[in-house]
Amino acid sequence: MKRLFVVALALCACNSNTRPVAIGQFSAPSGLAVTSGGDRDLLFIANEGRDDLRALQICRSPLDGGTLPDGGAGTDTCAASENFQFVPAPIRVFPAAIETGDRPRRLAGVRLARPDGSPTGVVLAVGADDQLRVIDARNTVEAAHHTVLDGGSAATPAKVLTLQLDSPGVDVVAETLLDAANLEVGGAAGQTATAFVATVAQGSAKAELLMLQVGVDAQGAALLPVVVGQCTLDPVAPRKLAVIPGAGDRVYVADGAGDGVVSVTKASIPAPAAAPAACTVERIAAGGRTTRSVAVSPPWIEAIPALAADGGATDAGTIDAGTIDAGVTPKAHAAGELVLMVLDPRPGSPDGGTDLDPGGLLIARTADKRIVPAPPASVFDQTAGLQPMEPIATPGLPREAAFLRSNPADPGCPSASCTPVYIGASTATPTSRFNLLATATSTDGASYFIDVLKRRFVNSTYLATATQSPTVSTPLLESRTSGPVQPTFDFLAATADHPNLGWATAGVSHTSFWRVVWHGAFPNLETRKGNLSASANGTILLTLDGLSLARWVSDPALRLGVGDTVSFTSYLVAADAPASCSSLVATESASRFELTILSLPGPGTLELAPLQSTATARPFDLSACPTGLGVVATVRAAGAHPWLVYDGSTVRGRAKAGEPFVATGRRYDYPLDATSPPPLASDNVAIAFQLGGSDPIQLGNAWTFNITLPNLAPRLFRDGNAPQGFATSVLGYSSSRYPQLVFTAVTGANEVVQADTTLLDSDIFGIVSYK
Amino acid sequence: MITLQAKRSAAGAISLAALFVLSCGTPPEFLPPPFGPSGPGPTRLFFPTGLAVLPDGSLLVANGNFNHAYDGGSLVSIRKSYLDAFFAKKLECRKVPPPELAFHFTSTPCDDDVSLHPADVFGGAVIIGNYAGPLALNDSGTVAFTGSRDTSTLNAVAVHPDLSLSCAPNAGVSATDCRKGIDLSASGVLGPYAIVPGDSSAGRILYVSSMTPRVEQLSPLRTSGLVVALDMADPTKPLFTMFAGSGFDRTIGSAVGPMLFDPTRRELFMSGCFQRFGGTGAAEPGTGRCSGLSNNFLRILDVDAKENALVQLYDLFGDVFSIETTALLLADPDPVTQVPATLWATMRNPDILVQVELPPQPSVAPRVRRVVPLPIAPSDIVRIPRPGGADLLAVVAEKIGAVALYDTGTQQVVGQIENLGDSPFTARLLGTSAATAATSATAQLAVSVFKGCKIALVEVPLDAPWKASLRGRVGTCP
Repeated sequence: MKRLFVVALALCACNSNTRPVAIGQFSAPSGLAVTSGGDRDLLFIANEGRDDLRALQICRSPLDGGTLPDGGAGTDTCAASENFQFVPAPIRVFPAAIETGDRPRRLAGVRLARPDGSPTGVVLAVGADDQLRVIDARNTVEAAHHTVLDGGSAATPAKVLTLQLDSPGVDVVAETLLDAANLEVGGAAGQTATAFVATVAQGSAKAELLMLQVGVDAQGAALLPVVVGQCTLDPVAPRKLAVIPGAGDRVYVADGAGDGVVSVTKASIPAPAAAPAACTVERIAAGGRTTRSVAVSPPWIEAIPALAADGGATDAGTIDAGTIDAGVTPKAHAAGELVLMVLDPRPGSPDGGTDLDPGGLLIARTADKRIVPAPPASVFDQTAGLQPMEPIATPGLPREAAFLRSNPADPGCPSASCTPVYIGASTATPTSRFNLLATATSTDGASYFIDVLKRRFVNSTYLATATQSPTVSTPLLESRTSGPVQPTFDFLAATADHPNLGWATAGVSHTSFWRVVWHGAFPNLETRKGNLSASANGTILLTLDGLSLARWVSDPALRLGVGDTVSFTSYLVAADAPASCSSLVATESASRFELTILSLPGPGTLELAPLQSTATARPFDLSACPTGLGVVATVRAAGAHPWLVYDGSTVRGRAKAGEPFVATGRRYDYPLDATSPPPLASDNVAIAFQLGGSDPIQLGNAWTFNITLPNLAPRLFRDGNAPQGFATSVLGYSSSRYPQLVFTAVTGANEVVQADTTLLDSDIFGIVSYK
Repeated sequence: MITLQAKRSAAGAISLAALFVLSCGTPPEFLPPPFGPSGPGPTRLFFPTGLAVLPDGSLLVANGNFNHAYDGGSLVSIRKSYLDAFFAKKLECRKVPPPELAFHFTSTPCDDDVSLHPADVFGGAVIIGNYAGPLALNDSGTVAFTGSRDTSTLNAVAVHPDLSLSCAPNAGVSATDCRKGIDLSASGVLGPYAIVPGDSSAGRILYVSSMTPRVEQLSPLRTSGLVVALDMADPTKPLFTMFAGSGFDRTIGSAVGPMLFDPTRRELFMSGCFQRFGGTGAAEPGTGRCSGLSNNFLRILDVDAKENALVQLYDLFGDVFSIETTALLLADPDPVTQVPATLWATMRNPDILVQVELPPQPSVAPRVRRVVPLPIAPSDIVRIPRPGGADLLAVVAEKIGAVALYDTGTQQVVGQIENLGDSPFTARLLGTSAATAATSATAQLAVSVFKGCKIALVEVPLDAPWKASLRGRVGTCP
């Protein structure tokens, strides 16, 4: 019996379907690209910190053994034991390192065909030096397998080819054909592919755009690309390139110096020359914002719910008030209709009173080169006067974005939308489907999904029909000293335009902690060394050492001026001061009184009203210090607007009792199903309240409250075991076997995360981390 | 009658007594090179950390003695003529096994074992305490300072025009034994680390930060991180002490690592985090890098408020998820006011270069604007100005023995110089050479290579930084 038990145990132990996660030995992985390695696809990863590439093998044949649409091997020769394993090094426990030179950063995968028609691929890499590297992808697989070639010899690693550039490459991108299922395929035998490289401006070298033709030789080996076009991009500062999926007529360039992105048609790029001409660019503006990345929409199928006879017109993503029939009308959209721009953070905060912009994501139409309107209008609605969408932003700083494949072969497509994401919102339908989906990476290490047509982040609680509205906590008065009548605090009541208490706005109000401080200290004027002296007209002059107060005066949120006050936390008696001065200081305590600012006679000088004797307080007689008195001063908001409003570390403005205080905010999402009229930028309110009652009479009073977003849970994926790190490149990948994968380079955590959008965190294979 | 046993007992007692006498004697000191350990010898580099460039272009190097091989570290000066001659060779140094790892080390022109010709290289040397950190100079470049992190000692060394070194007044027990230093314990400074010249209303100042928080209360444990202001004219004179962190604020009383002084704002910028851990250490709580936190504070202190200054805290964690900042650099001064608009920081886990905007409006908090991936374990940052162009930033990558070059104009890493040696730590800009008909203008950098016991020499063409080269490696481990 015992023996039987042991045998059973051993069988159980051996019968495991878990897949060991491959080790890539990554150091700052960044660029990602997929191409064909023959009977499998290879995901190349720029291992930036180690100056090499890694190649992850992905078997792509359908598990049912069907033939490949691109003419690949009908019999799957990609061993299951190699699937999702790195191409091995000669010592096979290590991943192969494909040496490419200094810091390979950006990669492009080119799908080609050998003369015999079998698929092959080439990877182009640019990095910190002025070389373009060319790697034969299929050769890496054949060399690792010692494949016997036609000549009878075993394959050996091919030399990495290099193409000299005038300066380091910023990005490289290649066009790839798509089949009817929107899967990437190579061309016919002998057909070349077009690729583009952008280089930086450096020294006397201008930023350039190069157009290349990439192909293979008679033996099927990668050839050095041929430069067929060249133009200068100045004043465009290229940051990222994007081409139309399935090949198109142009290349898009994210402009780090100008407004938005530019496109350059292939036909307009002149032949290479010693002094290349300027590129002919067409610009898609982003509201004056520079961009760091751009992605172009793939072909997609829109599932338009059919309307009853009484229904009005419909357009992409928009359903009017008509009754929806059960039927769905599929509508095919061509690739390249939309671009998704990743905006740089906007420099500065010209108005003050708002935290610095983190950058964002903006969608534009390529047809008329305009930013799409805010929802609920269709992204294709070109009606004049519609408010453009505002940028939406991930937590952290958004980095890069990619569209995901619209899968016409999906079981649910085209009777429903074609891009699935596991939400888990309900047991019956845990997977939601989207017409057009994108994903964006962030410096917080996560990748977020974007419902492009709705212009919002995919939100699991939205799909679970939970309320998306922010809530405010009950305000509390921190009172160290109380006045005769308590102050009051009331959030403004909801209105038609502001449906939530305190006008907290979904998609605008952040989770945050607020303080409203009576006679609050101005930021960076909490403790300032200064000197007190008597003026000729009986007032007191406070001279702040080496400081100009102009920044506080001109700051719209602070408006330091007459009527504000100064208190003193300590006094410093000069060595030559009379004893009376020491006596005066000996009787004083920190912040016993405030002196009102009468004028600002100099950049760092404040004229203060003397403290007179009252029934309850003794005066502050500076005449005891005829040579002056050193002080540590605190400059405070007072006068007409004596309350200083803090949102975290940022001062949002000044408030007064009896006057509404409305703090505007920057939109970061459109989480609600908006109705007409659309959410207007002018209604972007973070919080609104009104103070009342009597103001306190002593320092130390502050109202505090929180804004919380209890149900806003953007759908994201990251390595749950390594939350630290920031994500950079993101790549959507699809094949017959794996219809919907996303790879993200989490550069900061030295790993690449693979997500199956149909599984995500519901399964151990939903999110896989390669370290 | 004395028995044999008694004789043996007496002999044993005498031997034991003799042993006791011998054991009570002072053990011989193992002085560092060139003063020991067995008599005078050639000057060597051993665990070099801090670097400082003298006004004439010569280099000072602090040797940390991190393995306690000797009874102290050293401070040495390296002649500009030697450095210039090395750069003039225009060597292209490739990867070679370092002598400490090679089975059969063959010296190449790139590797100079300076112990063979120390007089060509070194101008002077003195003994200082252990665990030296960053080096700082006074305004005239005549006194160098570095902290000894195992004590409260600030080492102070006088630098003479002929590059000879001696202990600063009241900072040594002899002309070359400067281990006495300046005791900062009365100011509460334990483990002095960052040292920056600056000023305050009290005049020219040396600000010295403490890496070890001061214990204010043992149960429950409350600590504070301190910065002491020393009179630059007489550094033995502490003028005031400020709190960089207090057990009663959000810093949990932690101490700081890197520190800068902004003369335009008259503020100290600090970051990094070191805390005491109850239940560790000997006799009192031990110190280590902060752990288990979800914050990364940029700390700003107004120096004019002196001891009354309240540290301003800005949490950078939310945008980068790193809790460890290793170096800071102010940049992008306003053309009119010269107020820097940018703070660069290197952080680890993740390994990144971070651009922080310092808004002109006081109501707006500083925030991360850009995050750049870096090679593993970034440490020091050096600004390389380019006439008429955007600055380059040289960032040392400790774990891969490299320096990465970041172009602030194109906003990307445009070069990486490798094979510096094991664990480069600090970098300094030695100078720039003007363009000639044959060559473009270049910048020369010196990088201390901590475990490799050497100084790496790097040359960066300003108009083509991706062609930067390692020109040499100076020194070998003793």
